[in-house]
Formats: sequence, C-alpha cells, structure tokens
Amino acid sequence: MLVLENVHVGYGQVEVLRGINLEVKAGEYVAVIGANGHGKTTILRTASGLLKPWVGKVTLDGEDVTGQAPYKIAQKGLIHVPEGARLFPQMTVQDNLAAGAFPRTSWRTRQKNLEKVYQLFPAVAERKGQLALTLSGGERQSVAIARGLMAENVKLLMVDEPSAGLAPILIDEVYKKIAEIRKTGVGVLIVEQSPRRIADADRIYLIENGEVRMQGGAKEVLDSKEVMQAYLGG
Amino acid sequence: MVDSSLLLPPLLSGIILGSLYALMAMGLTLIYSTIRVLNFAHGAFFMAGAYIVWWLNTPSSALYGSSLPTSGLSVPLALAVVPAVLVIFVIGVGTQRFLIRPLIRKPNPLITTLVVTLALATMFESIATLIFGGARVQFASEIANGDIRYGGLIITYAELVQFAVAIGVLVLLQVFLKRSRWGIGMRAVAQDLDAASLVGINTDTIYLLAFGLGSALAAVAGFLLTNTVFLSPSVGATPLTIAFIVVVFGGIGSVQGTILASYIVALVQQYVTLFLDATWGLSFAFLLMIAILIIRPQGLFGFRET
Repeated sequence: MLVLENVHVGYGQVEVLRGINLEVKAGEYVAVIGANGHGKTTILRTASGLLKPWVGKVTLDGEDVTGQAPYKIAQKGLIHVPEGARLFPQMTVQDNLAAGAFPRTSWRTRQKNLEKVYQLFPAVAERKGQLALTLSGGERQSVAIARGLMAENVKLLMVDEPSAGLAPILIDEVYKKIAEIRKTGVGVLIVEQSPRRIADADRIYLIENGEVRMQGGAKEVLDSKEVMQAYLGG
Repeated sequence: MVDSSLLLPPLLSGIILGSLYALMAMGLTLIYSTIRVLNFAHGAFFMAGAYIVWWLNTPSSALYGSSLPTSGLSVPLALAVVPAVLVIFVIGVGTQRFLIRPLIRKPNPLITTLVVTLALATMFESIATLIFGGARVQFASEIANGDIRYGGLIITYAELVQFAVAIGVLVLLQVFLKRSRWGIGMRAVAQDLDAASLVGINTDTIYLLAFGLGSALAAVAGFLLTNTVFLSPSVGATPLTIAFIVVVFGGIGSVQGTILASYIVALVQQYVTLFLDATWGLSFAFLLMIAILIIRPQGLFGFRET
C-alpha cells in the first residue's frame, strides 16, 4: 500500500536518507528500528509529505504522491502521528479530536468516529473537556493516536516513537491499543528506538546511516547479529 | 477634587471605544496568530472599508463640492456595510494569496511581509487620495439618531450601535473559532502548523480565510469608528498604531489579551482626556503600556515562545 522507492532526502545540505526502499502492505504491521539520528523519523516525514524527497518516489495504493502537500496525503488515509504527540496545546481534547476530523468526509461522520475512539480510549473520554497542555505524557500519546483515528478512511497509521518519555507500564498500555487498532484492519507503521516492544510485528526494518541495513520477519531481524551491532556498536 | 459624577462618562465612553479597538485589534491578532504575519495594511483596510460605505451611502457630491465621487445610491448604512466587508474580505484573501504566500516560506518572512504590507498601505492611501481627495469628509448621517439621558449621562444611539455591533461581531468570531469546522482548523493551524497539516487540514486555505476574515474586521471597525467622526485617506494610521500596541500589550496572538488591552487603552485614554486633555489621552495610554512591556515583555497574556 505504502511504497518508498530509492528515497534520498535530508535537511539543508545534509543527506539523511540515502536510498531507502520500504513497503507496507494493506493491514500489515511493520516496525522501523535503529539507533537515534539514523533517519527513522525522516522516513515518516517523507512518507507524509512534510519533506519532499530529493530523489525517489513515494506511492500510496499505487498512486504517486511524491512531493504532494501533507494535507492531501493525510486525506488519502495515510495518517502520521508525529514524535512527541504534537497536540494543539490550547485546545480541549475534544477539539483536538474534532481537528482530526477536519477533512470534509471525516467531518460528516465525526460523531460516529468520536464514539469509536472514546470506546478504544476510555481515559481520553474522561479528559475531553481539558486543555491538551494539561495532559500527562501517556494521555497525550493516546489523544494523538485518537486524533489520527478521527479520519474517516485511515488506511495506515504511522506512529513515531510512541514509547518516548513514557513509563514502562504506560508503554504496554499504548502497545495494547495499537494491537486493538490493528484488529480493525488498519495498517500500522511504527518507528521505535528500542527493539523490545515490536517483537510481534509482521516485518521489521533496521535502519543504519540512512539505509536499510536489514529487513525481514520480526524474529529473523531481532535475533540477527546486525541488530546486536546496531545497538551495541562494533 | 473632581466631582465624582464626572467619573462615570469616561467609563462608558471608554467601554464603547475599547470595544471598537478590540474589533480592530482582533483582526491583527487573527492574522498574526494564524499566519505569523504583521499586517501593516490593516489600517488601510480600515480606511478603505469606511470609504466604500461612505461612497455607497452619500446621496450626492453636492455636500462636499463637485469633485468628489459618490454613488448617488443613498444605500442605507446598515446595508452598505455588507458589500464593504465583502470587498475588503476579498482584498484580504488576495493579499495573502499574491503578496504573503510567495514570501512566507522564504528567508526572513516577518520582515519581507512587513515591508510588503507597509507598501500596500501606502498605495491604498494614495489611491484613496486620487479618488476622494485628501480632505476630510463626513457621513451624511450617523448610524442612529437620538440619545439616552440619565442624570448627567448622555449616550447616543450611535454609540450604542457601535458597541452592540463590535461586541456582536467579536462574539460571532468566537463562536466561529470554537464551533465551526473551519474555525477549529484555524486554531489548529495557529497552534501547530505541521500537526494540523498531518491531520488533513489545508493550511493554505486556512491562511486565505484568516487573512480575509481579519481584514473584514478592520472594515467593520473602520465604518463604525469613522461614522461618528470624519473620514480621510490617512484615517487608518492611528487605529493601526493603537491596534498594534494593543496586540503587543495583550500578548501577541492572544485573544483574551487583545480584548483586555483594548479596554485598558481606551479607559486610560478617556480618563486622561478628562483630567488633562484629549491630546494627552493616547500618549498616556501608550506610556503605560511601554512601562508594562518593560516589566513583562511577553505582554499580559503572552507566553514566551519555546
């Protein structure tokens, strides 16, 4: 469904991704792992259109979306939940969710999606009148994912480091929710620094220095010597 | 000692004037908080909106000498405001589309857009002078006639209309921002541009809408304020200055701050006018604000950007 072909991109003069090839099939659960500063976040930013590839192609359901504006790509069902949740701080939780339903088709069905999202995240429902800036880290992450799910036609949810800054018990909670979301048929692409949480992924990409160092089934990649080297050095 | 019965009129006139300042300044706040652009043409839009209403409303040029163009349509004021607001809305949208958008993602957008809007303001003033001449003109009538007297207090119906329209428009704007799809989108863009685009909000369209709406507020304020006084091509300069100071004083981009600062400026202005004279009114209000800004540079409701 989402395909990145030979993507080169960076910031200013500095090249961060050096020929990335990556694919997520419909309904698949894929994880991208690697140490910090190797380009994991940049992959998501390029897929969602925040960055325009220097070279290479991004296709979504067979359609070339390379260089399209982020809002257009989001409206096609590719939802990027950015690192650090990035809620609208001065808006209530409810308004944050409403913003997630901004595209016209989503706006029409937002009541239905709101109920669905509150069912998935009962804790978010309890906080609906609160300003986003008053939420804890775990709540923020939940609202960010919930906001992404307010889109009517989510095909692939890309979540950047949902575990960042959270206590272990809260990380378990977030991954439980992600597992529930997968059951509804939505594809998931997770970026994580730590390989521990994503052992149940369908496939894993190991990123090193802006390139795919290794990819394959979860067990195969996690047990490989490449992963050991990537995280322990050497 | 000042007779205590003298203290009430400045309170009333300050509240009315403060509402008009808030209306004017809210346009700037809307544009700045959404697009991060300081629109120096805001005063020109104030002036242009007022002239459009004047042109539609004034029955014949006989009142002002033969050289001044009027429509001769005698459109009632309340009706003439509608096309004026629409025209300025479209001019605001055009400004964003053709002048601001090409600059906004380039280096130094704050400075380049400042210079461009300043140039636009000067052009508007020149065009108004070419069409309407440089002299002051007045509306043939105020928006309402008559007044209410209670004890020593006099409030004209025109002032009541100014107050009611200003507050009404500000309330409608809040409802729009809090409840409507585009209003929620606008607040989202103002608070996190990237996150807004990632949930499918067309940020370019939001920018057009914000600039158009903000400019339309200047047109309403322009008509309301000049209706009871006079109109000239440079009439937007003082309201622009007041609006800027109010916006910075309130905490740039803050809606509550803008409103509170508007009332503070207007009340200080009116009371100083009572105790000294009118020429000192604004100067004192500004002096107070400079003092407060030195102590609290982020303004009343502002927070330091992270």
